[in-house]
Amino acid sequence: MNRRLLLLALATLFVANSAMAWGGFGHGAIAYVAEQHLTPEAKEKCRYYLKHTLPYYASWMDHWRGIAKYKSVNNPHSFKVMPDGYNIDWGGTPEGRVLGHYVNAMKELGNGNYKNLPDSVVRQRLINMVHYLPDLHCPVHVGFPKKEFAHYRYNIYRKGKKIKYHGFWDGSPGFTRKNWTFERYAAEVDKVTPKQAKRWVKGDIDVWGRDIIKQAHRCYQITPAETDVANLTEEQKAEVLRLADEQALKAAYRLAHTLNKIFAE
Amino acid sequence: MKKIFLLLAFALTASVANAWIRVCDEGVAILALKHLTPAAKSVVEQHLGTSVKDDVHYLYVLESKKKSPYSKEVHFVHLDANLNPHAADENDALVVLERCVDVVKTRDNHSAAEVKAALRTIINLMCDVHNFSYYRIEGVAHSQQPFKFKRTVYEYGKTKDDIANVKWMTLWSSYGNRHRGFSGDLWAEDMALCLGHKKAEYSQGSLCDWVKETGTKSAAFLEFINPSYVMPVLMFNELEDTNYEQMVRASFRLAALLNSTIQ
Repeated sequence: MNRRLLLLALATLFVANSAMAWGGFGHGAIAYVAEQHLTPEAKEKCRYYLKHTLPYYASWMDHWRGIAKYKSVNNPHSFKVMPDGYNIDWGGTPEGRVLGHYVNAMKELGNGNYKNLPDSVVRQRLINMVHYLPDLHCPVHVGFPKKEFAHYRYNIYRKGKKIKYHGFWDGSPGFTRKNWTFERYAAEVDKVTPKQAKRWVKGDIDVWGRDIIKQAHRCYQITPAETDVANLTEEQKAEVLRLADEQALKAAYRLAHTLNKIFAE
Repeated sequence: MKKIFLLLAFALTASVANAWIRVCDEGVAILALKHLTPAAKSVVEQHLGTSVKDDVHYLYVLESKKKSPYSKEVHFVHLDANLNPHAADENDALVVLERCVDVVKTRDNHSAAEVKAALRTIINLMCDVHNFSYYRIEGVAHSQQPFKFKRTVYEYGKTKDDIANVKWMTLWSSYGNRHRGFSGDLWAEDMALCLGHKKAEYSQGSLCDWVKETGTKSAAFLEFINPSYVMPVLMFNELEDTNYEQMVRASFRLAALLNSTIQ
């Protein structure tokens, strides 16, 4: 029994390294790309409040989620979808889910309101934002209702051993990218045109949410039930990365857009 | 479920070989090199080139090839019961650092290969002597060999009873693993941003002072961190800042040491 458990532990090492949304690499890469697209004012302000680069705090909320002080913001790092499968279920927000954190943070910080808050409060809201906005964009952090989407609950495998579907997609930005740095991710993956960036940041959280839901359906087509990820073809691997990168880059550009808006003079 | 979590946690911590992961050590060295005097920079570049990425784990590489002139104890500082360095032989980080500083100081009397080896050893060991795990303290039995302790994972909820294993030797590198994707350059940038204003304060003192300071802190940790200890998750998280400060100290002190040695 102990040997089986040990094998299970070792087999899921990849998953365990990305046990949090997007994994440490994905979150950091998103924050790094976002930082490259901040206005000078927003970058200066973020660094003033955080005292670190944006990537440093990218996964902070995942590491502190177990602390009682942060229990109120450690609700699932996901959001719910209506039974139609295309619209956000706002019934579970604002306090309960990740969308609510975004909405509350914008109310507190936006329109210059951040200037009236203690530095420590602004800092914590920024730490939340740097983590939660990317969380929203992770395909498996879109909560399709169990009843209508029972067919989205299935097993996938790695070399014949069952792995967590959630964990695989959480780690997808780093899939096949061993030892990549954030700089390399930005240089090789961030090829977004200004026109595309403008399209992505248009609208509000509701518009973004519906776009995220639409893209989230794709992950269940790319890795359907019984998929063994060790046997993915090159085309399938490319599909995984295409979806992961699109969502990660959207998260990065929308995070930058949000921070630029908050700190616009 | 608890067993699976324990095994997962053990697997995660067991995957790290060195006290600070390589890329953190690179960040320490990269930031240090940005604070060299022109004289020191010239000598360092003459012997090591402009990149120190291969130097930060110089001794570990030699050990893996069984070519190190030292035992693995060279990474450790040996302190007596009064927390004073007491080692006389070469398998001690402080002893070897002081010898390497002498070689660099009197580099005109040494071959280029000897000066290069000395510089690389200094860069490697200055990281090690700022890591709390790398202290053997007389009278503290559990400092003489690797040991494991436990920590809680959650403060609340049904998972509050989950416990993870932690190795004393890899406690401090686990924080670097939280930031996979950071390059050495990004670490250096982040450290400068966060604690650059502490450069003057951290650089004060001598090599011996720095070792005694770190050794004192290590001893303080070892008073309660032992094989039967269960570290609260809050403390585990808060220690990340402590570890980060040690990295920055190592960096500015490496620069200060090279600047004072090469004049």
